[in-house]
Amino acid sequence: MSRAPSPSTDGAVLEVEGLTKHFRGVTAVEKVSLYAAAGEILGLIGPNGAGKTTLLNLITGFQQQDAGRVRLKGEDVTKLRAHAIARKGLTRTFQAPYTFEDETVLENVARALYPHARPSVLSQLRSGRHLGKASQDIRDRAEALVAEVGLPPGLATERASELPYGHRKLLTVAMALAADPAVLCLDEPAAGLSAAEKEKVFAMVQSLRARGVAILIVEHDMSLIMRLCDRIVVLDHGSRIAEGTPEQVRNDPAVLAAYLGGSHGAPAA
Amino acid sequence: MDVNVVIQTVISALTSSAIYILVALGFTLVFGVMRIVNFAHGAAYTAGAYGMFILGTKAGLPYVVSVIVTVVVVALAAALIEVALVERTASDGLKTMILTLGVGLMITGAIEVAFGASPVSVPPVVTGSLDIGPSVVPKDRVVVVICALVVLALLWAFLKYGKWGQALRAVSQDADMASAHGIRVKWVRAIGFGGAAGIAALAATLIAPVLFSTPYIGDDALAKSFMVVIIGGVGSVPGVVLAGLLVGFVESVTTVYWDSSIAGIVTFSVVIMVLLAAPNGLLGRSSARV
Amino acid sequence: MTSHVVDVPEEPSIATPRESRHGAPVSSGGPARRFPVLPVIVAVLVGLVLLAIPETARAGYYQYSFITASALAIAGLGFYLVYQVGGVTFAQAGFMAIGAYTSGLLSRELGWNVFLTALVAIAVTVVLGAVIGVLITRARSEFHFILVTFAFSEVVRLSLTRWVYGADGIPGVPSPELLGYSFRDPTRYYWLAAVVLLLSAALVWRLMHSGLGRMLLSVREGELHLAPSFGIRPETYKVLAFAVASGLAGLAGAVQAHFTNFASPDQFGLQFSVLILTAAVIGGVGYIAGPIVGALVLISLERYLSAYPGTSIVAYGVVLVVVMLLLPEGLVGLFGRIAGLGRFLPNRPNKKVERP
Repeated sequence: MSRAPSPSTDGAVLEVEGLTKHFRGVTAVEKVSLYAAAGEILGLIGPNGAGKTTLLNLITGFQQQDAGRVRLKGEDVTKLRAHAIARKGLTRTFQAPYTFEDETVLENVARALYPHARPSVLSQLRSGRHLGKASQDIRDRAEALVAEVGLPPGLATERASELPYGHRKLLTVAMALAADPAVLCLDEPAAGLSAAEKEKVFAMVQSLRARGVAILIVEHDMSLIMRLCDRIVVLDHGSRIAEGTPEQVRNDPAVLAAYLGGSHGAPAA
Repeated sequence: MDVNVVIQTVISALTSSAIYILVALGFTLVFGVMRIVNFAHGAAYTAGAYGMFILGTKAGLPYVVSVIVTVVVVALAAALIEVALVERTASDGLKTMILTLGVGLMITGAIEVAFGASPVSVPPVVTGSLDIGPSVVPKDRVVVVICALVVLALLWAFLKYGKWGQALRAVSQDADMASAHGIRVKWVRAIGFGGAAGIAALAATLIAPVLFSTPYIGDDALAKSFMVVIIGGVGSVPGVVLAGLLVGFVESVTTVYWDSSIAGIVTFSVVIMVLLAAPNGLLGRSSARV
Repeated sequence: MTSHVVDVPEEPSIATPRESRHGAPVSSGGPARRFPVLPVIVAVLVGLVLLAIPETARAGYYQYSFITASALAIAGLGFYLVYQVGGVTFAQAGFMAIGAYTSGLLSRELGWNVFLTALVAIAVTVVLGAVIGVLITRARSEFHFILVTFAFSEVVRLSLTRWVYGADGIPGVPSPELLGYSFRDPTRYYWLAAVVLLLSAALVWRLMHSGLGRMLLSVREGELHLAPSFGIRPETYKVLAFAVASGLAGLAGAVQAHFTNFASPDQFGLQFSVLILTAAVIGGVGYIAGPIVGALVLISLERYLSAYPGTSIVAYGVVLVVVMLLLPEGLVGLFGRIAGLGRFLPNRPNKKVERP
């Protein structure tokens, strides 16, 4: 089996090899490989319908691949379902900001922290459910996460459904960080946001580097991606057509063709 | 293996299957158009039977007249109920399900209050028997099967070629798209609901002259619809036919060779097994989400 | 969207995030942390009043109603639990039958103490519930789940009819007795049933108010996306809820059987499953006190209407329709709003509050 030549993947926290997924005759993802190292920000771009979200679903265990492998910190997690992969240290956000609508911001993050703080059923039974009770520890961590993603601390007791869209997206990132993951996948974190809000996202993702977490970010906003990422992988029609630094990708003729070939806009410089 | 017994069993099975298929079709129609589980469906069946009792036995009207009046009344009443009540909760599947359960209970209860719990009967339409091979088979059951086939054929034609039939199918597939094409989805829903009740009532009118009726026949009809729709696969008319035949035959055969309790156990066990092994039913579309 | 402080005058504080007394933020799902003595006491008082009115003259009748209501309520608590993880179960009737028969037969045939046989019945139903739960969580939708659980109850009922004592059931199921003290007398059994009911409610309350309850809620509200993202395996919690619910149903069956001194399969058919659902819905499916209040109301209704056959069924239907259209939160929800006691209600259901 021939493999596309790629740089050495030693030290990569996330390794994806030859992932493939078909849907009733349509190929959504075809033999895509990539890798990400700790503290690295990897962008995943491509025209609409290129298969980015599907790829993300395959990597994170929300959909099952037809072929290929995924390795997390050297361990093969291909066969695992989403919850198991999350426990291993690979978490994600979604395009739509899913939250627990009627719960406060802190409670939302607490809910995310909880399974990791109290993994066994027995420990869950014995502990209290409310933030005020038992776990000061959980509450402290929740507050820390809220601050880390840049949410104003005054919002902590607001209900998630009351938050502006941009803040809800930040909340979901805080929730994804609750597992203290080695790899964090962000699915279009800037979609639907104003320019100011996008800057907040930019700042947040940059600051996450300090955690040492590898970040895989799917995005449509080219300027954001170009400024933010260390490397970029480009998909088109399910296959990887380019990979490299933002400079390389910007000037890659294959990439330009992919974007201009359809009715998609050219990648903004 | 007594040929006579076999033939009797087959006729009995076909009769049951015919009724189950019709009732299940009505059930699946509501599900397709409105994506709700209609717990009142059984009550429509019971209403059909008792409509025949009122008109046929008590008022002595001729069979065909009774059938037409009963079916029309039940269908209209159901459409009214849909517009007045079901539409209000239509957005919440669970609420609507419980609502229809309540409606069903009201109707069943009212029938019990009005007519008591003892079995009632409707005057037979066709008497006498038929010779099939070495067997002597009651004509009325054969007539039921034939009528059911006719109704099925008419339904099929209506759904495929009729203006409202096509509208029903369109809304089943994609309500928003249908609406965008100018189909009045609210009307279609009322018609679908009313029509389904009418079909259930019709099935009851067919079998009313053959069997006794109690206020609780609807419960059994409902349970059978569930089973047939699940086994056959939601959204698949051939599936319903196949599953109806399966359920009817399994039931008849096990009743003849063992007894009715075993028949129930076997049928339900088949349902459970199908549900676990083939969640889409035998012929259901894999995209069909119940 | 402004983030104003959430003091909406006309709404009770059920869904508003609040500061605790110490100024530390608390969860908006915030029921009282102490045991909800108030709603349960009120529920029982209401029930007692309702039951007392029509039939106090007849000795034993009023207790009979309450005990029946208790059994229904205990099974209903199980229904509530399964509902919390997103399922509408029709299996409670089946597990009640198993519980009734297990406890009844063991005490009758082997002469074991009823309290012991009841425990055995609970153990049996919990284990069976776990096994069935594992199979059933493969159900792809609510409808499938309803049908599978219904099929299960019917298989149980038919099997018991066919192979164990027939349709007439087991006669002569013994009354409970402990160290010479017999509970045969209706009034004594009444207190026993009340204690068992309260213990069951306390168990469910403790469950929902522990960390486990938080996990269950996460499964209910985020099964597809959020729960797996947090590392929660939804099936585990669904099976757990189902197993506990089965145990509760087994207990309810035993409570019923040892009072009426008999157990038959026809007691536990489709009608009964519908009754459990109706009780839970009337009371409010989202509340622990819901099935309790609902059961008391239902049984009272039944007593009032028992003279006129069929009317109770019509009444159940009317109540269901009215509740669905006007009072989706059930009586407990309504009560909570009226009295502004929202914050005492255990585990209010997930609902969106409209804002201007």
